[in-house]
Amino acid sequence: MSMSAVFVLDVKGKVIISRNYRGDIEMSLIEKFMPLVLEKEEEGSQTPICVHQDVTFVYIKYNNLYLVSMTKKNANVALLFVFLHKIVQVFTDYFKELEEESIRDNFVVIYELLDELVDFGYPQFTETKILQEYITQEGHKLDVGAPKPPVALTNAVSWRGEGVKYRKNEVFLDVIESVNLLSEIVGAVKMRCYLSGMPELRLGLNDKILFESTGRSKSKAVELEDVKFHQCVRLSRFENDRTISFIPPDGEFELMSYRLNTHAKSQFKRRSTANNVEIHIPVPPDADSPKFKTSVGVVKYVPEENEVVWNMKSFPGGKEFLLRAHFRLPSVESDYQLRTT
Amino acid sequence: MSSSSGGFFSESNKKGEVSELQKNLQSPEVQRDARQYRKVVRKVIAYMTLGMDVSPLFMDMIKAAATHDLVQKKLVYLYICSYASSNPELALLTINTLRKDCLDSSAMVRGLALRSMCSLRLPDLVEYIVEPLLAGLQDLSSYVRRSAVMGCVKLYHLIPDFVEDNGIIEKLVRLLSDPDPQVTCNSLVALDEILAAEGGVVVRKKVAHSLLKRLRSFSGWGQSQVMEMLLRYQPQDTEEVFDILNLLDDRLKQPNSAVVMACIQLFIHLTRGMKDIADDVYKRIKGPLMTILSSSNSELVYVCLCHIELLLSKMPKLFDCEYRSFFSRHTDPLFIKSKKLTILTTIASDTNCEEIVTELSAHVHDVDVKMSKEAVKAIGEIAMHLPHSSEYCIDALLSFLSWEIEYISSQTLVVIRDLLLKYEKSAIAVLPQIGECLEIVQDPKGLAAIIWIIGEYGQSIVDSPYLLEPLIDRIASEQSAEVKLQLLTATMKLFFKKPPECQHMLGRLLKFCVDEEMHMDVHDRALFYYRLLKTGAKEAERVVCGSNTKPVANPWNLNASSSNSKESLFEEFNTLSVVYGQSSVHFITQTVPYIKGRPYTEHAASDDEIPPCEEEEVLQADEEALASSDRHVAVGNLLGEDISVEQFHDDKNQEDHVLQLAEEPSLTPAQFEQRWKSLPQCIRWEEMLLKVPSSADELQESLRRYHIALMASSPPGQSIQKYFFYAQQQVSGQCFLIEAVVDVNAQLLSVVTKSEDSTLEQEFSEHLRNCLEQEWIQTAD
Repeated sequence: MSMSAVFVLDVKGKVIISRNYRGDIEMSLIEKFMPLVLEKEEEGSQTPICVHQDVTFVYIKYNNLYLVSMTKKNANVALLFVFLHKIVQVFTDYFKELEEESIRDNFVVIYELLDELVDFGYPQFTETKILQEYITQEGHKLDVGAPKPPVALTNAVSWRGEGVKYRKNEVFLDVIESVNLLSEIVGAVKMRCYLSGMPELRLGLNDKILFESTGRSKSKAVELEDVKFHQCVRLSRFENDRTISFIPPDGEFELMSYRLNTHAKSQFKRRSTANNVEIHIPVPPDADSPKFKTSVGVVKYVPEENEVVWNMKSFPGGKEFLLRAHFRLPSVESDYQLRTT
Repeated sequence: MSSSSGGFFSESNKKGEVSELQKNLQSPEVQRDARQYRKVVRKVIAYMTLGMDVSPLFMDMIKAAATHDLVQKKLVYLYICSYASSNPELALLTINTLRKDCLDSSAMVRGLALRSMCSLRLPDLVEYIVEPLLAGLQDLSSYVRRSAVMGCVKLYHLIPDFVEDNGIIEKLVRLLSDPDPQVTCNSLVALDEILAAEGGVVVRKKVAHSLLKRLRSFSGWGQSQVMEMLLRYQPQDTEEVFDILNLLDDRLKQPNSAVVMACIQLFIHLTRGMKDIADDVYKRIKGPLMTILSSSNSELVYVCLCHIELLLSKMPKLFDCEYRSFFSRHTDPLFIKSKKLTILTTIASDTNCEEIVTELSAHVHDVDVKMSKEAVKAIGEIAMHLPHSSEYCIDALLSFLSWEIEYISSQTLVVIRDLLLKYEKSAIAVLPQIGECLEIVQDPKGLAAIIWIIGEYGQSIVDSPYLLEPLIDRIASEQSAEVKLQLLTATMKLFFKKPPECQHMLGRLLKFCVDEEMHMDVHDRALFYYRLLKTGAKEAERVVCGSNTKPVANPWNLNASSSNSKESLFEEFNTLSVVYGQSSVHFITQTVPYIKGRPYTEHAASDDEIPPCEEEEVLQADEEALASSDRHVAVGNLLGEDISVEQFHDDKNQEDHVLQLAEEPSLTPAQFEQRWKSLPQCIRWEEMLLKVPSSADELQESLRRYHIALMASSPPGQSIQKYFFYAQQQVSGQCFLIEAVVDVNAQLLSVVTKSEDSTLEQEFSEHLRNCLEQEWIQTAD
C-alpha cells in the first residue's frame, strides 16, 4: 500500500502532527487538502478520497480531526482505510479520547507510535497491548537503560505477552447484536480476560452445524453466517469440529463477529392499533412561521420546547401517515458566521 | 501550544525562544541532569511540531543523541531526520553516533538507529550506512532485521546502484524464509519495490506455496500484501487452483477487512477464465462483502460499494436477493447514500422494483437537494430498464409533483419528459398537472421540459396556449437559451394545433427573437421558423410537426458503458482504480525508482496540467451523456461528423505506411510504462559504441533533433546506464518506445524498440539506427 506520509489535522485543516515516511511527496502539499475537501463538500460530492495532481489523499474524520494519508501509487485503498481506523484505535487505547488536546499533550508518544506502526509506508506492528509494553506515556524510567523488544514481537503468540499474572482470574463475555430490521443481524462476542499465564480457552455455541453433526438437531440452534474470528482462534480446529479454542489476548478484545441473514420479526401484530400516539420532532430554536399539513391527527408547534408535537388518536398497524411541516429560519448569515469564526 | 498562541509570538520572540533553547541545550547543568535534558529536547520537538524552524539547533541536538535515555534518543533522531536535508554537512556528524548505536546491546536501539540512519535521505552518506545495514540484515533480533530490510529499500531509492553493489537482492531473497513473519513480509515488499522496473517479484511455485503455508502467521497487513503478490502466481492446473482456494478460504473469515478484500481479489483472479466455477466463487465472496457493508467504518463501506458496483457489471444478478442491504440508514454519509442509490438502480428487477422505488422515494425527501434529484433520476432510470414495472415508477414520479417543491418538481418533469418518449401511454397522465407545475418550476431544465410537453401534447391540454403566453410575455427577461429554444419550438408546434389562439403570440415571439435576441442559436432558429412559415404554412407544418416518428426505445442509452474498461478494472481490483472507475494509467505518474529532486524533468510539468481524474468527473460525464439525449433540443450534425471522419481516414491511409515523427511527441511516464508492459517484444539489436555518452543530456540532445525524446534515465555514474526514449507517429499518434542500455565498460549499446504500429516497426528501428550512426555507433557497411 505504501503511504508516503500521514497527518493529523484539526477541523480547519491545520496540521497538528505529521510523519513523513517515504520522502517522495512534498509535505507542504497537505495545504491543498482542506480546500479540496471544502470544495467537494460545497458541491455535495464529498468522498473520503480526494486528488491533487498526482497525489491522492485518503482520509477519515474522527471527532474533530482529520487523519490523512498521502500516496502517489495506485494504493490498496481498503487497507488504507482499515489502517487509518487502526491508528485511531491505537491512539484511543493509549489516550482514552483522541482529540486535539490529547495529541498535543502526548506528542512524544505519538511520534514514538508513528515510528513503530509504519516503516517506509508499510504497516508494521499495530497491537496496542504489545506496543504498550515498550512505549508508555510516562516514558521509560530513566537510567534503567533501553528496554528489550517484547518477546511477543518475536513470539508465535504475537497477541499475548508472557508473564501475565493476576491474583484474581476473571473472564467476562458480552454478546452485542445490532439489528437491522430490514435485512440482518450483526453480532459480536466481546471478551475481557484477566487470566494468568498462557490460558487455553474453549467456547461452545448453539451453532446449527455443530448441533446437527452431534445429533442434537432438535434444540434451538442458530445458523451463523460469515463468522469472523480474532486471530487468536485456531481456525483449523473450528473447521474440523466447530470448537472455538484460543489463547486470549490480555484485557479487552473482540473474539468473534457474525452476521445472520434473518429478518427480525416485530413483536407487534399487524392488526393491532396504537392509541394516543404522540410524536415529538425537535426543530431549531430560531424557527418561525410554522405551517403544517397532515392527513391525520393534530400538529402543534411548542416553541418553548423547540419542538413540534404530532398527536394521533389511533395509529393502526401497517399504515403510513404523512406530515409536512414548513418553517422559516430568520437568517442563514448568522449560521454562516458561526461556521467561519 | 494551541494554534491561537501562534500569533502571539512575534518573529523576534521566536528567535528569542530558539536561542533560549540553545542556551539550555548547551548548559552543562542541564546536560548533567537527565530529566532536565530530556525536557529541553522535548521542548525543541514541541516547537518543531508547531511548525517553528528549530534547525539552528542542529549541532546541539546531535550532541543530545549521546544518551542512555531511549525516549530522548528517539526524539533526537526524529529531529535529525527532519532537518538532515537542510543541514547536509552537519548531518555527517550524526553518523558516528548512529553507527555506534547500531552496535548497542539493546535491539530496540539498534533497530531505531538503523531506521533513522536510512531515513536521512542524503545520498552522500550512504557509504557510511552500508556496513551497519548489512550487519543489521543478519542481526539476531528480528526487530533489527525488519528495520534493516526496509532500510535497503530506502537506500535503493537514494542510490539504486547500492543494491547491485552489495548483492542486496540475494540477501533479501534469503530473508524471505526468515523465521520471523514480519521480516519475511518486509523482504517481500522490499524486493517488490526494488524489482519494480522489471515488473516486481516473480512468484514461482516454491515461493508461492511457502508463502501460502505461512500466510496465517503474518499480521493482517502482511497477509494482504502477501496475497497481493500471489496475484502474480500462475498455478499449473485447476487442481492447484482449487488447493489454493481451499487454503485461502478461511482468510475470508478474518476480522481485518483488508485481508478479506485481498482474499476476494485473489479468489477472483485465480478463477478468471474458469467459467464453470465462477458462480460458486462469486457466491462465496458475497457473504464477506455483505459483512463489510455492515461495518461501522463508513469509508471502508464506500470502497466496498465501489467494488460491488464493479462486480455487478460482470454478475448483474449477484445481489438480487440482498437488495435490502443497500437501503440507506439515516446515519450513512452522503457518499454512501449516493453509491447505494446507484447500486439499487442497477439491481432493480421486476420482483423487487416496488420496494426499491419506495426506498428511493424516501430519498427524494432527503434534505440534500442533490441526493433528492439523484433519487428522482434513479426512479426514471429503473422505469427505462424495466418496462413491466414502468407504470409503478411513473406513478411514484407523478406523486412527487403534488409536494410542490421546486427542485423536485423540476427534476421529475425532466425525467417524465424523457419517459414520454418510451412510455407515452402511462406518462401522459402528467398532462393535467402541467399547469400547476408551471407555477412552481423555475429551474431552466425543468421549465424546458414543461414547455416541450406543452408543445408536444398541446392538443390534449385544455388551455395550453394560455400556459405559454405568460412565458412569451416575459421572454425579454428570460436568461436561459434552452428555455427560449424550447419556447420557440413549442409555440410553433402549438400554432399548427391551435392556430387561432396561437397566431398572435407566435408572431410576437418570432419578432422578438429575430429583432432583439442576442443568443445566436435562438435568433437563428426564430429566423428559420419565420422563413419556413413564409414558404407556406402547410409545408412548415410538415417540417415542424411531421408524422411522429417511432418513440425512442432507449432514450438514455443505458447499458452503453463499455465493458472493456470494466474488464481492465478487474485487473486492478482492490485499488484506487476501482474507486475512481478508471484504470491507473490515467492517474498514476510515479514510476520507480523515483530520484528525489529530479522526477522526469521535462515531463513532470506537462503531467501536472492533466487534471486528476476524480469520481466527480465521472459523474459529470454521466450528466453529459444524459444531456446529449435531449435530441429534440440539439439536432446533431451527424453528416458533418461523418465527413470529417472519412477525411481523417483518408489522411491516415496515406500516412500510415510512411514514418513521419511528430516534432513534439507527448506521452506521460505512466502511459509509457503501461505501453511498455503491454506491447510485445519487437526488435532488438546491439552495437559497439564509438564513445560513451557522458550524461543523459548529451544523448538526449542528439536524438531530439530526430524527434526522439527522453522519458527517463538511470542516474549518472553507473556502470550500466539505462535510457528510455519515445517517439510518436505524426498523424496517428502511435508511439514508438525505446530502451537503450549502455554498458560503459564494454562500450556496448543494446537497444530494444517496441511499436504500436507493427507495419512501421522495422522502419523505425532503421531510422533510430541511422540517427545514432551520425555520432554514436559505426556506420553499417
